[in-house]
Amino acid sequence: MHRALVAVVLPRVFRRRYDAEISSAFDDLYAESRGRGPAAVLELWLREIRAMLSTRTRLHRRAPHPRPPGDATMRAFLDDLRFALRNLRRSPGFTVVALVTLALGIGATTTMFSVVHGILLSALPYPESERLVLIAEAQAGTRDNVFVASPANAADWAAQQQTLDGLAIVNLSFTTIPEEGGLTQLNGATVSHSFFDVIGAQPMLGRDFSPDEQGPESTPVTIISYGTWQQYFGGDSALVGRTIRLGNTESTVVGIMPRGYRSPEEHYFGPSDFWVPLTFDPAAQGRRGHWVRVFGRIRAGVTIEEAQTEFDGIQRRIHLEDPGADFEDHVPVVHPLRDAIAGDIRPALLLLLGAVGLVLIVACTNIGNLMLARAVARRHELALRTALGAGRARIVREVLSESTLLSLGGAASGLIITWLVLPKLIGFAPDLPRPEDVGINLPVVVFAVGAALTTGVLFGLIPAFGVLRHDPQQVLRETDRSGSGGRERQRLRQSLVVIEVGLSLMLLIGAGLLVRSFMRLMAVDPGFSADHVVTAQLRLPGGAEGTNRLLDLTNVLTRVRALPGVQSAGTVSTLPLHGLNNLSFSVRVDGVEYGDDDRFSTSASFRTVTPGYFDAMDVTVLRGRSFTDADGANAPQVAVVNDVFVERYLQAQDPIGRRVSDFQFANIEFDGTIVGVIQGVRYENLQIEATPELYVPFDQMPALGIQFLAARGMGRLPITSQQLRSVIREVNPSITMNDVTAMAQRVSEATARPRFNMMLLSGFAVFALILAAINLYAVIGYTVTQRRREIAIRMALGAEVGRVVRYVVKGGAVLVFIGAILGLVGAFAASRLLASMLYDVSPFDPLTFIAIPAITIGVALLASYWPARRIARVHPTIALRG
Amino acid sequence: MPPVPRTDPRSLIPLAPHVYHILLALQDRVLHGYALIKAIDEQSSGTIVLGTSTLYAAVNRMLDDGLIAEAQRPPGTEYDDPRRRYYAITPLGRRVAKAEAVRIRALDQLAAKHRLIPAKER
Repeated sequence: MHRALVAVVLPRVFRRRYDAEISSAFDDLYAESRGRGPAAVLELWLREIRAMLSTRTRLHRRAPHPRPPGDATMRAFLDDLRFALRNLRRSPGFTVVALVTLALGIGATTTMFSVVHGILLSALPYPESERLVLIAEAQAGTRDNVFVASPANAADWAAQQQTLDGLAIVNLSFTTIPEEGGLTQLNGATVSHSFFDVIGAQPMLGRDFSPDEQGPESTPVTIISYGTWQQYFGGDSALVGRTIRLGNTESTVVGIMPRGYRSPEEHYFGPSDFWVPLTFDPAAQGRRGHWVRVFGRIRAGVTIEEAQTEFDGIQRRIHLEDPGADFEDHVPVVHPLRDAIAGDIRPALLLLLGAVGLVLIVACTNIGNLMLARAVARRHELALRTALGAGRARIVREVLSESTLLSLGGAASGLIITWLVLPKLIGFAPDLPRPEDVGINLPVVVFAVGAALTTGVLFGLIPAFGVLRHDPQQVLRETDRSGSGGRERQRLRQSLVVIEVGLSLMLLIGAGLLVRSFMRLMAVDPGFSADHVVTAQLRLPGGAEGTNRLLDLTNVLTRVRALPGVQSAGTVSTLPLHGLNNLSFSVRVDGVEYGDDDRFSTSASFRTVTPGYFDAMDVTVLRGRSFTDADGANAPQVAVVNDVFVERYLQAQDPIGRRVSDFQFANIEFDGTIVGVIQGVRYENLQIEATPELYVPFDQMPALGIQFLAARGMGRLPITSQQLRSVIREVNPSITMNDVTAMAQRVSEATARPRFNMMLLSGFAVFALILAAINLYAVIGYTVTQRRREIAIRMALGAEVGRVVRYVVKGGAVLVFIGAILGLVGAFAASRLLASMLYDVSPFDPLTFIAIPAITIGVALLASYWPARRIARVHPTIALRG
Repeated sequence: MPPVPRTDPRSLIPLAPHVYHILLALQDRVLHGYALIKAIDEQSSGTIVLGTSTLYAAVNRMLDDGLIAEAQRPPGTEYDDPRRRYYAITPLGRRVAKAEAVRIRALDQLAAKHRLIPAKER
């Protein structure tokens, strides 16, 4: 940016000689000032700009050659700015108010834009990232389990597709690494060997995986992250090629990823410390379980639609060739990766950006009114100058330079506000995707400056429009110094008030709808009771240390239940509102009609639980029973389903005793009976209703190494981390535990996003209303002042104060009503945009559409009444004399 | 046509303060732009902090007048930022600096004579 300024300000000859040096010196100065803090950076910039301007003047004075014509306009432009600066300095009150209003308006808008840009617009940090896609399977007709695919399908896609350069299968993986004092858990991913190739990333040391390193029989290798390399291996540059102990295996480190590498699966799994090649054969995993994520890179020149068409075709071929598997109900969906990562936050972000834009318009209108008042005060001077020959264009340019200067100042202070607010906003915003990409960068600065200049022109034109249309002779002849002859001006100010009231009302209605929606959300029954429940994530080791998973878990639970104050405890493979371990299977249910080709349309989310879980979470058992200790590994296989399962697949007939069969997980076939029905639990989030669920006792299908403990007791945290840790250490120190959280906190986090949206929009709306009220107050106040004489005459003639006050307020009320009606129309038109963010509330909710205007009108009337009180103090004779 | 260098130091003084400081900074070493700015900052106890444009405008003038010249990179700086150019003082520059110092000293003595500053405080 410094170079750009130099290019504009300094003469060409000088620049050619010194451009590079100036850049170099500035780079050094900048780096040094950054270390000293933002004040130093600001000081540096101011000094540089001053130096550039004065150097330019000095160089021109010295130059013996005639100035090229281009520079003349530059000089005139700089002159205008200098003059405008002087004018602004002469009215500090106005300048400060305008700058503050602009700073807040532009700051808020730029902040929102920065978020929108970082998450929705900016490219992902991979080469040609627009070609990256996420391929998921969605159940046709619903949106269950959209991002997860089944491994066998993925393997077939990889084999048959031609529209992609490559496709990679990814799953979550965990391991432990030995450290002093025990084992530390590492989170990572197990990936196809082509994963990094598909993404477009390369290890900075070592190499990528090779094809023969994938599969169950391959020698264990791993690629680790830069952070892992530094933290656990001290950045040892000879690490590549050595073996390290991961979990139970000796794994050879083949590569180390560069610093700052962000892997796409991290958006779903959290940061990855390591990557290992797939140790299973995807094709052999069957089509009924959905638990892998698939990333792909579209071939250059191919569109997403073409890829989608191809994948639809592949899926149809799979149906024909392998009709025994279920998936008629699942269709592949090819998403651009950036959109998949942004997820469902897009509508909310765009809406907030639009809302803050409206706030900016309101802010500009206020400033426009202020400038209009100033221009009115100076109209004699302006008229004189016009009469003496100054072109209209010249005066318009003057007014516009003032507004440009103001708006640039607003842009600078707005950027400072953004710089201060943005980190706090990101910290406060719940699970924002790609927070690293949100910041102040060139597009954001360009946006701020662009917004500032546009608004500068807008509110600069208002006074220009309001004052210059008059015949200068007429203005000069005016004897009434207070200028009440500005009928048109008053009308202009009034229409601005109307606009502001209307926009504020729109924003307030939007905020009101979000408030209602949020309150509905808080009232949702999630199917369990979160109070007095503590949860923790346990990882049971595999391999040698994990030979006795069943015993371990039983021991842990027994000890936990024995802790003081604990009423009940159990484990589950997926905790509600957590999102991990979301498996689903298609199962055969006896009594359900299936088509000839043996496809099972009955699929359910699959979870394993231990006895005591439903008690701990206070899940209601509607029919039959829940699991007991008798449902052990050698007992007959049993299952519990939820009411949604029963309603959807069994038409609410009694499911107790029905056989469920034909699915397998980790080499255990399931063929058992339903023994109970529980109330559906909302798993994904509070807004989405429960989906069909199938629970199986952990003892009968212990393959899932991750289990979530839930314990109910007294108080918010019935068990502390230390208690849990010592219980685990007694049982088996190889079990790792983390994320000890009160369930109530998880629920609160689940409502974090709607709460955030609601608070932000409400903030904007209230700010806009305050601005509108201030403007209304000013306009009415102005009216009262201007019509002093008229009011005084009326009172002298006997009108009582109350009637006069009502008369003035009525003027304001008319404006408010017109504004309210316009605002309502606007709200009707726009509130459909909110629909996706609302829970259980119609975008045309009558209560909101009645209450909010009532409140707005009330506030506005108050703003009109307040200055009208001054009328009571007007003494007729004094007013008439003045 | 570039101005003809004048060789009589007295015709080039009085110097602008920052020009004098540049000459002082270059008395016994060779510096580049950033280093000059920092050196002047330090020499003047922070009262003169130059913007890059001001510095290079002065450098330009001083090159034209022959007070300084572009110099070889000192040993050890071969891997530095290649955009940097180093400057050294010329014999003319030394003479001019000396002439300026003499002028300032004369002013000092005048001020002391009028008791504006104590005679010892120099």
